[in-house]
Amino acid sequence: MRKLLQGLLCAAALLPLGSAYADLSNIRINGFGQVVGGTTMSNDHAAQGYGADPKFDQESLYALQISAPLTSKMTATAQLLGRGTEDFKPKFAWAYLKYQISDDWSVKLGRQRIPIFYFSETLDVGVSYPWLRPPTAVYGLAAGVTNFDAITVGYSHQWGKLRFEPVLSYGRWKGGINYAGSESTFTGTQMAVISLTTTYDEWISLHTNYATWKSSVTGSPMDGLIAGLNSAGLGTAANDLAINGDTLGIIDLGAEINYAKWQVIAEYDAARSFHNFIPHSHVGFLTVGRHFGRFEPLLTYVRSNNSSSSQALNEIPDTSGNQQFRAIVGSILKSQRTRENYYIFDLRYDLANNVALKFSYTAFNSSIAGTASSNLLSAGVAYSF
Amino acid sequence: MKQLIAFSLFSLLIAQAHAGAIVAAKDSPLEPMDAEQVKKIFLGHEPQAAGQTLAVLYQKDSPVRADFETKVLGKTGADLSGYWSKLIFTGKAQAPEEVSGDAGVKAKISGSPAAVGYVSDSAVDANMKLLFKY
Repeated sequence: MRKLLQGLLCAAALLPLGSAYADLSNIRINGFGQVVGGTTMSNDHAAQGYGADPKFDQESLYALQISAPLTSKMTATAQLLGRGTEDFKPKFAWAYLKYQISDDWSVKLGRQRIPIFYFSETLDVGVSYPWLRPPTAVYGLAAGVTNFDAITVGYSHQWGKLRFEPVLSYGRWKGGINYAGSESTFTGTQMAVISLTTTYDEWISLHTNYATWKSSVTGSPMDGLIAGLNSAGLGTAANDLAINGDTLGIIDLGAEINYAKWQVIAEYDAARSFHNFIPHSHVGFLTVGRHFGRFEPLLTYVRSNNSSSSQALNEIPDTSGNQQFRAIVGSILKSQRTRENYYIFDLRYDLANNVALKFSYTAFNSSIAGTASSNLLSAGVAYSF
Repeated sequence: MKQLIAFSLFSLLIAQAHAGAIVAAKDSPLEPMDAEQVKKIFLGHEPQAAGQTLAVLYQKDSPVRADFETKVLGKTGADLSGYWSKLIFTGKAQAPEEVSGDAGVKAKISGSPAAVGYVSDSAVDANMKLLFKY
């Protein structure tokens, strides 16, 4: 709690102008959070950081958002987020100024969520989506790159019941990501996003998004292998394994329909990384849910296809001295080529308008030998205020 | 026949009891609006009108609120709450202020030309500008 208060005080310190000149009664404090527990029910496989012993810290989190109008057109917003996996230490997920240029145009400057997927911007806000978690095969494609320091220009205009919301963002980010099974440092430069959301009468929404950036990753377990290849004179292969200013692009197409008691959500993504071994991915899912009073059961099917080039392996000559390198690189490349299917059952129960109980069961099978199938059972409470 | 008339009158009374209005202060520059504009404003998609940054007022849980949500917004309860959480936590809109009942709306709009709220029909008085009836 003390950490939370410290964080809030820091946030308040960011808004001195607002406090001095704006009407204090207009400052908004909102928050959200969730407590989620899960188990794979078996020690054979891990999934989403869960094993056989139930854990409650993997996806649990809380967040507070303070929004202060500085002038009639300018708002300062800060969001503090603490995750169970980081001992609930609060960090600034957001800290930006928004300027409403006109009814339709706005500019956001500062730390903000990077929009890549349909639910990217509210990925941590459990009450904003029906599942316990959005399908991880899609939402994990950006390997934990969730924020950036950026300028975003947004437009929103409604003609009758039809609303168009194009957005253009440009920025950079340096932060921790989970890569090759270990916490590593990610640096993203020239991060650009262009997206268009079209909504008709609040019941059908279509989303297209293209995100691209130059990635660099340091401090990962891959560093040792890359150094070894370099010192053995296999620099070209080392370059293929290193992520060092390499361009990544992700195309996202999403659709959501809320009609009568039915809810349908579909999303498809194609991700491609250039000049390295990171696989080309095609991932999609379809969810169908139906409301029964406060209950909503949902079924989701997810399919993921990943292919990786053999270039790094081909650049290591097949000589007796290189056999160890070939074996390691070969197994890394092979582990990137996967076909996965997920069958997910979710049940949401709205305990109150802003509190949802959620239950989820995922059955998963993969083409990788040894991970033929695994299951994940999880339940949680998500809230907002 | 008498019963039918009595029933019709009763229905009329019920309908009137649940009728409501979108109101602003009498001296507000806000102009009368149509259903689409009301929906846009109360769903966070029209932050400004008549040169003002709007202060949108929702009533705390009340029959007037339930009626407004069903008839005008087409979203209620957890559905509406989830909708707002998407707007608030993406920074697309400010959370609306919640006030207590018709009296809360009345108190808030007086002296605040950019404030707009909904009240039951019977609460509309000479200090308010009627923007829309539902």
